Amino acid sequence: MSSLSLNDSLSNVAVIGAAGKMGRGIALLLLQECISCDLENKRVQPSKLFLIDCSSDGLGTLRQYLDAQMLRYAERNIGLLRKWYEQRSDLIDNSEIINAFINDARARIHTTSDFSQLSNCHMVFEAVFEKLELKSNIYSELKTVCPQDCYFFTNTSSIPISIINHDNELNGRIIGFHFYNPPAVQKLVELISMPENSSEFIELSYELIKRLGKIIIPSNDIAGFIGNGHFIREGLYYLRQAESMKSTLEEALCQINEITEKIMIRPMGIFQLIDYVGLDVFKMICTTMEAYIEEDFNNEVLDTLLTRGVRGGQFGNGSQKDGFFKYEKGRPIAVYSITTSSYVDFSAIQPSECPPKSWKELSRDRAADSYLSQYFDVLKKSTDTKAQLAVSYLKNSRKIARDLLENNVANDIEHVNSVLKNGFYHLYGPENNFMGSWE
Amino acid sequence: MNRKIFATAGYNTDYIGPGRPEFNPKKPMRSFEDYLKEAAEGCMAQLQNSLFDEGIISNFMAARFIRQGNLAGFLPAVVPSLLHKPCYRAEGACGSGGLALTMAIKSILSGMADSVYVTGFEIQNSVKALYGADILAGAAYHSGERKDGHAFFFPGVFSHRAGAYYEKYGYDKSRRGMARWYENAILNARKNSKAQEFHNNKEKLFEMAMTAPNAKRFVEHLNLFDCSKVSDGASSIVICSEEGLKKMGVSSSAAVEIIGFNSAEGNITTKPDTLTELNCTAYSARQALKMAKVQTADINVLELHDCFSITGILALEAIGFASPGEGAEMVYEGNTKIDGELPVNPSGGLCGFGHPTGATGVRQMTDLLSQLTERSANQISLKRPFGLMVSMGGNDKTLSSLVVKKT
Repeated sequence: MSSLSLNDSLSNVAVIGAAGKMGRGIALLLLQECISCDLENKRVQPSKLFLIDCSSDGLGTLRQYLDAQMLRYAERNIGLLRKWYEQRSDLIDNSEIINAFINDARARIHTTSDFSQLSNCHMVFEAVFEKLELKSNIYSELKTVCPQDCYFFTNTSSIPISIINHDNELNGRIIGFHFYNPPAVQKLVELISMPENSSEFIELSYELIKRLGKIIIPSNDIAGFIGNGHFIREGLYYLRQAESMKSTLEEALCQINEITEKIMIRPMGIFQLIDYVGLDVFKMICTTMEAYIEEDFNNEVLDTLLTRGVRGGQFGNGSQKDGFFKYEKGRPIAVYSITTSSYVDFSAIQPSECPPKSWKELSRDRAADSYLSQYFDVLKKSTDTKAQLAVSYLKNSRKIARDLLENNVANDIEHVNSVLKNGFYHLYGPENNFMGSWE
Repeated sequence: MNRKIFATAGYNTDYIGPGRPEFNPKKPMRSFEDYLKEAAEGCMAQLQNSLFDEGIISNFMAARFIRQGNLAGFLPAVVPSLLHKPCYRAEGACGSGGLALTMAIKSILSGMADSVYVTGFEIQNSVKALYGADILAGAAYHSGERKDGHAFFFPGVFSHRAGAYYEKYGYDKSRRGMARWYENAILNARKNSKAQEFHNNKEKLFEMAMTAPNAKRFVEHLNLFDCSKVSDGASSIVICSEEGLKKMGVSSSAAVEIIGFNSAEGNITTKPDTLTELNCTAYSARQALKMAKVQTADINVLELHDCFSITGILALEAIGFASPGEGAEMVYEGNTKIDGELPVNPSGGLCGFGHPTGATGVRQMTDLLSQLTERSANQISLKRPFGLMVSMGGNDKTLSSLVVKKT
């Protein structure tokens, strides 16, 4: 096994699937780390960052993205850059130093579709589409090309890494990183290790994630891990709730979305979140979890929508595609009706109620906890139908969290809380003091 | 002086930059031609006849901010009577405006002119502050100082001075003086609809400005409240003789008399002897007072170059309004407030009104004029008929001081 320090390991790194949504964010984080490591340590040999993707167009766009993002990084860290380049008497102005930095960053990037260039790679980050077969194909090739002591990091939100490890005989040289989207911005990384991983490898992974400026939450190697372990189960729960309600499905979807956003004070309602993630991605994770966990991850409404081509997810420019809801300027304005295969205007269904304090307001409020404490009390005592539903939803969320602990997905309930707070931007964890006495 | 000199028909445009609701760096911004035109028209509207013998335009770095040189050529473009008249451009970094004023005075004194149109402008928001810092660093000795300087450069330069001041006279005392400086600047700017900070309605200004400086976030000894803003804007005024006033049809009551002036240059390649002193400021202001035969105690309103709060405090000490080390306390105790014994920068100063570098010196004279003719929106109570302005370029390098008297 490799005994290289993290700094040395960073001298030759690769990202597979670099042009993808997750890959490019990971590429950016690594580029920042590679170049700052070189400059900080005054390394003569520039580090190499191989960015691999099957799409050559995608690699072109990736370079533009990295240029633009590195410029932002340089501008934000100009003080550091001036220090790094203090010996360069030819670089005086901020603009000159920033240009030099961008050029130096570009010089570290090697875009290719050719795996054979990875023969000296110390760390390979793989962020291809979440399909076991695809991942396995890549690892079987990587194994033959990369050095014996190369570490592999797979970005996955659901596939157990022990399967990839076993199928490709990687002998514990693979570990799971679950970056949240977009990786360059989101602070949370779930680190999925397994007993076959060496302690050096795990330590190196911790050190690296920390250097990338992320919050690390360890998760055990059970499909879905903590983040999707909670999200997928919650999503399915609400879909089933919607189906069992007396009202029309459209009304139920709207009502549950409203309760989960406004009454539970979350950044967005559950069905809007599924739209954001993509119904297809949601379904894919369900399928993966179904394969490894004895539990029902099927849902008819979801399948029906997908067969009708309703997918959600984002356009290339980051705007929201239609899913459960139709969007205008990022806000849902209509809901999909299975009966008519079209979107029904929200206003035709129900007027939206005014929330007490919105998530946005409260997320900036330093006294949010004391507000929430009182708010939960009021909620618990309320006879309002929506409030009562919210209470049962909160209890369900807590049950899912407790089951994750029970089933050894999480080692600590605080890890579940942290994932929901840092990965999903909830203001409170599913296990919280506010509902301490609720049974 | 062989003849009387007057200043009249002053005008300021809005000073625009971060803090103004209409400011949006992502949208096209107002052009410099537009600022110059407004300044010219605003000035000429106060004259019966816009007859000038000469024009001077002050600006620091248009060549880099907006890639425009040969600025004198824009004077006939906005002031038709300047066509085929001598026109000059004055550049002395942030002290450009002050230089333009003393150049105009010398033209009048020489007998070559009876009225000189003076305007100053700067467009700085054409680039991000980070790159603007590169450009503004040209106010110091670029090849001698820039490389070792802070990314934002001038805040770093005056941070050194602030640090030396803390060390010599105590942090707490200094900080509260600087915080009061900020508070005064904003309170004054709130009375001035043209000021960049006019819309600043934050409560607890003093408490905010007490925030301890943090080198990790900005510079070691200054916080952001200690700094003037990045601004676009233009100002204008007319410098003239008695004959000039008559020719333009302006009554002397709408003018102030300039009774003392001085321009003094420091050596840009040398570092300050003592960081807590502004020697060139001291020299220039004292010379101007001497020429005017006026004591500091006679001055009723002061226009100081507060590019940073500490600079304003050091200037008070340099000129002799406070003993060394007492400037901060003088400000903290309220002496420089609008209703204090010596109101300083009643229109907001560089910290409150804004600091379009090339315009600032002209703006200072325009504001002294409006105070001494008692037409200011934030009018001081005039007990003594004298005012003083000190314009500074670079780190106490290019100084112009002017003493004015109510007519």
